[in-house]
Amino acid sequence: MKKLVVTVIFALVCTMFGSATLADNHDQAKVRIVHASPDAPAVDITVNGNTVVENATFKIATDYLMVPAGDHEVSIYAAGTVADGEPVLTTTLSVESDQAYTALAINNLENLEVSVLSDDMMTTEGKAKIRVGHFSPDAPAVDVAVTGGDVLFENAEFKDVTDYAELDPATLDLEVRVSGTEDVVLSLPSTKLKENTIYSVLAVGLASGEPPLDVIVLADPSSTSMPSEMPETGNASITGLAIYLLPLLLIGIGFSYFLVKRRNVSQS
Amino acid sequence: MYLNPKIALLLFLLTGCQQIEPSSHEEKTDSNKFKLESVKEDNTNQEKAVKEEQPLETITVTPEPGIEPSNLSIPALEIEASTIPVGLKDDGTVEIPSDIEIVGWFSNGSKPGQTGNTVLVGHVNGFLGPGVFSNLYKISTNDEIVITNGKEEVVYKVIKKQSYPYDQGPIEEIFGYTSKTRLQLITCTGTFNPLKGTHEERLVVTAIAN
Repeated sequence: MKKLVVTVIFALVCTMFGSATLADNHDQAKVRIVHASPDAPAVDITVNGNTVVENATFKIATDYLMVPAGDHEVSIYAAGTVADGEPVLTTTLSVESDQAYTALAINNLENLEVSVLSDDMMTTEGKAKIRVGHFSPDAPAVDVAVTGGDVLFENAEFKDVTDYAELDPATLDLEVRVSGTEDVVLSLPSTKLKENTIYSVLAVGLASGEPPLDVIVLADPSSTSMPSEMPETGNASITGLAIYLLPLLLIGIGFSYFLVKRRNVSQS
Repeated sequence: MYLNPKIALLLFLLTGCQQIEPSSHEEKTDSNKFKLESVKEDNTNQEKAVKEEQPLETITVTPEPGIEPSNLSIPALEIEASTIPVGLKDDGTVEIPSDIEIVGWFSNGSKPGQTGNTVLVGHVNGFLGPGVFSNLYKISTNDEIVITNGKEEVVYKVIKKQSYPYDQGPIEEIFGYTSKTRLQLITCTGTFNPLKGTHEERLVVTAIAN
């Protein structure tokens, strides 16, 4: 009897406090797709023949999609023409597990190509990370600087993506200048760099012509600033509370049983 | 743009078993080039412009500041609640307001009005009664959710309501970056499992700013 009581209590306590394990995300990579080709129309995108993005227009960035690690065939179609089976561009994307990637459709339509970036998912605790991508086909090489201050990135040409720079969190006035000059082509006042966030600032559009220069800012929270599991937003009602107390009750019973038995032993 | 969740799931299921021949890096199929005659003209114009070295005009891009929320209102469900910022606890889980009438704004995420996911969490119930989100399951598509800081407001419209098993929520989709201005309301749902000490499911209501 005593054994049984102990076992039951043990089982109850274990299941109560056993932590929930996360859904298994092993061997998965995160991939997002950005339409950065200024004159290309809306597109549909397939991965291994399955449509994952429909009617994405210029400057659209998808959320991260989870895909298995390995090689994937990515095809870009004019919107609504997937069924015709004639993509504008097909490319093979190789992804590794637990890594994140941004795949951009870049350049003018007639030279459409795909650029794949490897995305950092962590910062040093309390810092912000930033990198800049130059995806304006007709813009000259540029420097990116803090207005009236340091040059952060130098001489980035079309298709270049800088390394990440790690900075203290701050609100900065940034400007993109023709490399080596003071000519500002793009002004980014009050750019907030938040702690534990990874920024990819992608310059897109045309320096001369339509659509004009613009930036796509991808602001990814560091994996350390995202929760490990879904929030716990409910408690037991009265019945639940009673069941919560059940193990305590059983421990009590077990203990009394033990005491009574001991007393019996000592009396005999 | 629309991401079909069914298709995304199919992709997830299918790609694992497909064998893809590692092909050359990039192959273009010329058969279906977009037919935009104007493209070429544009390009030549641009080249000229660059060659003539005209001083480039400065373009200014200002970020959306967003608001620090203080109040949440869902008129269709007669929900009115104050909000407080919450962060992560040491164990990596979201801090939840101890007052079951108050909604927590996850301040590691986006502010209301900014691109990205703004996440609000609220209790479905406490030990003694219903919490602020006890009726959230009744919300319908297109219902409005209004968030204010006392002066400005951001209005969202509900686009999705979905429950997930408590240990299988799409963390990346809810807490990761999105280029949309998106709101995620989270509460518990399903039956309370006393052995696991939690409700079986989490209800996630997704809304998009107007």
